[in-house]
Amino acid sequence: MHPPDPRSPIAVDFVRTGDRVGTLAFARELMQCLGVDRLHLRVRPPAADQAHLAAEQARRIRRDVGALTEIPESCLVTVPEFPAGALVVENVRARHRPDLVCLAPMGERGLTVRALEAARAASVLVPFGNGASAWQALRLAAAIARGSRLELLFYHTTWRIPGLAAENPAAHMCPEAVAMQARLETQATALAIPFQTVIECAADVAVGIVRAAVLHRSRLIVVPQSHSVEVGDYCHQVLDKSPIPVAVIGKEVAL
Amino acid sequence: MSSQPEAPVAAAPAGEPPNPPGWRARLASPYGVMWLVVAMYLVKVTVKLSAGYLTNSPVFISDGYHNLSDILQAFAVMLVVFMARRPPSADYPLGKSNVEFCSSLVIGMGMLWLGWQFAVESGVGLLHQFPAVEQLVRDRLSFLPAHAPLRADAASYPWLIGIMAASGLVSAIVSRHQIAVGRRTGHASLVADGRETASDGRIELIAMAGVTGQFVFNAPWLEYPLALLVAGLVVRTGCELSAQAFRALLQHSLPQDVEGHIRAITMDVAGVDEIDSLKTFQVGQVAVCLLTVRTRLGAEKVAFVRLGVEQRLRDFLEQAGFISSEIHLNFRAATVDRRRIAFALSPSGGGLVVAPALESADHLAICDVEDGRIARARLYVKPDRPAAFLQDKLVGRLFLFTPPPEPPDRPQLLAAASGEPVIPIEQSTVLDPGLLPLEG
Repeated sequence: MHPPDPRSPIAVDFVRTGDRVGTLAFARELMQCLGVDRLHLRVRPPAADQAHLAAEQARRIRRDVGALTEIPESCLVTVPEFPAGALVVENVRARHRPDLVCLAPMGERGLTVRALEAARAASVLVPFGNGASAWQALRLAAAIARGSRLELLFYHTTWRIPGLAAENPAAHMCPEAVAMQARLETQATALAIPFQTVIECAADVAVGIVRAAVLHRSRLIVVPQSHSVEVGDYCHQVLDKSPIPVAVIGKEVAL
Repeated sequence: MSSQPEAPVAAAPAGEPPNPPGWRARLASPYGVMWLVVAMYLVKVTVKLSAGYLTNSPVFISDGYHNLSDILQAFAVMLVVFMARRPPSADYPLGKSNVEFCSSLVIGMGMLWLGWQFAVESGVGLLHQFPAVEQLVRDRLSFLPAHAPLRADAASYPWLIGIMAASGLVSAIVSRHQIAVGRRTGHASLVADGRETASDGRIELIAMAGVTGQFVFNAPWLEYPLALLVAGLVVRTGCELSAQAFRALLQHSLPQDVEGHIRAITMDVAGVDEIDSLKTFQVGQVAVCLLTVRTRLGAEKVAFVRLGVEQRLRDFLEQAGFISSEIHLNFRAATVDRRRIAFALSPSGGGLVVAPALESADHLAICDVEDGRIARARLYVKPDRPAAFLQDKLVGRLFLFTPPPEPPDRPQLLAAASGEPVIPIEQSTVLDPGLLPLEG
């Protein structure tokens, strides 16, 4: 397995984003972390009788963003729409684009801006279930964890099997989830990224994920969008509850 | 506040009455260890007073009576432990565990007095070895007590040495157990009493050294330099206990490094923008932390910020040696940077764009900006006197999409009435009025 292609674009919606300074700072840190050298800025170009000013608008945006982020203007690209597969940093969900990875910074300005205690490392949380989507999440999480020198935290919550008295939550996992856990841990070991795994029987999946992230000092939750759930996808619940940045991998993203 | 943890008791099978705790469990409980201390002092008092009166030894007699006062002190500590273990009530919401520091203070002051007395007696003993110097000093310091040498014969020396050695050893063992139980159960008075017992043990061992010196080398003066050293240790322990008790009783803040860690841990939790205020103090062995933080997040997310801050502070304070903690966490909305700006808009292709000049604009968008985000925007038809209108609306800056070349170095100023503040004109980045939530 390889980290995501470094040429995968990182993008910010220049017009829609609220906390522009914070969002751009987060995007800049992600560029450094993933070794990406370009930042795409989504801007609607002027049309009709103002179309001739499009180049001037783009120049000004690059100048202002460059001044805010210290990213060279030559590394800033204005685009009318996000390229497919882009990692979009914004607090507003682009629900209509399942081919994007949307990272909501939740007001944070980066993954490593908060002071780190030496005794305990911070982490990137990857929840996993019995499907393969966590494998997809791991590719992004591993690249970010490696670039930011964070650990990986694999999280799984399971329902108790009726009639099974075992206290250990791991005893209640289904075989597919056990297999996925082994696969994730093997991969983290192969990539030499420190990791830990938390298995519990949380009453609420989204609450369990956010609780684990908060208690284990996670800096980012990487959660894939479900391919089959139409209403109540966990990724949306996590987005609503989490104070920690959340990256949602769209169902049509191929990492 | 959580109640003090009890010593573990073996679980009984369902339906049967619980087994009574064994003697080990009893000895590991605060009351058990204090009964052990009482028993130890009863034996010591009996032996020391008997030996003292038999050999006419003032050292043994005074030490015997000192140990008698230690028995009373042990009962006082038990009373204090009983009070401290009472559950919190409406009148005492944090419980009464601070009463333990009253006992620590009394013990600490007592140790200061004991150390002083011991130092003076040792100094007098040392002076007695140099009669000329002693006379000179006594002429100036008339309050010095008379020197009381040990009076014993060759037959009684081994007994006296044995009694003091055994007594010192027992004190050392019991005091260690007492301190360990006190720390584990969070009873400061038990720890203080244990440290006092340990000091008694050291004094007994020094007395033994003196008796041995006289018996083996006929050099009783050996006792005095050692005794001065022990007096210094006793005074130091007394100072520590008194200072700790004062700090707790007067609700001194937790140590600076602990507060520093509390701040660092709090700021490490995602969602915390800044710490507004932090007050810490100690009630018994419970750390109390009153914390107000600022956040921009909504209620649903703040619940998890609270969880993160509280849990991590509890873990840290437990590691720092507190038996439990009370975290009172308040959230305040983060300070918002508010300003008002305006965009001049002109028609273009059936819509609006940011105008290149105020003269060519036919609308003005007045925007309330919060932390760099346009939170509210309202569209006005450009009035006849736009400068006065913008000043009435308290607009700080006017944005235009001025065509190239670049505007002059200094921002242009909008003409305003004499004496009124001017409004700087800025070059808008975007031509797109979609930036202002005015569409639709």
